[in-house]
Amino acid sequence: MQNGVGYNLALMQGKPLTLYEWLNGWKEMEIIKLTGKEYYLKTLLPEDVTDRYVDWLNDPEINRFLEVRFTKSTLESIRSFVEKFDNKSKYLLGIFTSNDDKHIGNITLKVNLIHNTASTGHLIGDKKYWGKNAYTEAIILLLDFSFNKLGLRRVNGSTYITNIPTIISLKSLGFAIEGRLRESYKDGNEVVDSLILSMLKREWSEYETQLKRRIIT
Amino acid sequence: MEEKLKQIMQQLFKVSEITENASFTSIEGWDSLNHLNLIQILEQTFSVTFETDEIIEMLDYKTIVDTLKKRGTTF
Repeated sequence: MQNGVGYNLALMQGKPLTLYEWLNGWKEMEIIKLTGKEYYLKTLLPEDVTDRYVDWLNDPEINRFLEVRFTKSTLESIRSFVEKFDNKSKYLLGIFTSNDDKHIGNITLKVNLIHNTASTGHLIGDKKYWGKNAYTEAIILLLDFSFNKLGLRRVNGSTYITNIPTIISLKSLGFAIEGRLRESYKDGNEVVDSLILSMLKREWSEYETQLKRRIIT
Repeated sequence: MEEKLKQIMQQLFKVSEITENASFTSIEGWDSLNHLNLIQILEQTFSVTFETDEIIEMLDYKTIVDTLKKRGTTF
């Protein structure tokens, strides 16, 4: 335990290799579990992909800001997507409820191992958990992991300027708006700008205690 | 008008008092979805339309008051 936030790293054991793993040389992958207050993050595995998860990605309200909306998602396409995350430079963590282990969304971290930076993205698929602090807890857990465990220097996110809930969530956690890409996306019939927000390790160090209070039971 | 604003925020965020220092981070009920509800209610109540850039800055009481003033709302 570090400052109340638990890292639980276990190895996958006794699991048959997928074709992707076999072709790419199987190495035992760490299962990462990051525990917060009402939610925890856990490495997402192909067996976590359910019809419910696929339905999220095909729901126009949920996929409004996801590039996956331009293709029809299926169990196979999403399992294949999940298999591409190696937990070394690409992390895909499921967001689960602590009280009943319900999978409600995902958060990603793509790390540049040379520059010690990363970008993050997320999806809260279960609409019942919109506005319920799930993303806030998830991003605090991910920042803690990124800066304290992986030793990264910077984490950034990019989002449509019309994705106001995400922007204000990140701003409220101390992310700085550092860039605006003009007319970069289509949102329905509108062409919209996007924003890049980031947090640096030194800023995390300043906010860490205060932010962690929000995820400690 | 400031009283009206405080009343709206109190009801929406289910708190007994809104101080001059109230902010998104200090009030538990002021989450990202309720922020959008607040914006919608303010637009209807004060007959204004906010720009996206204003909406993402209006994360504390003082900025909301300043933005409403800029939009011509009299306090």
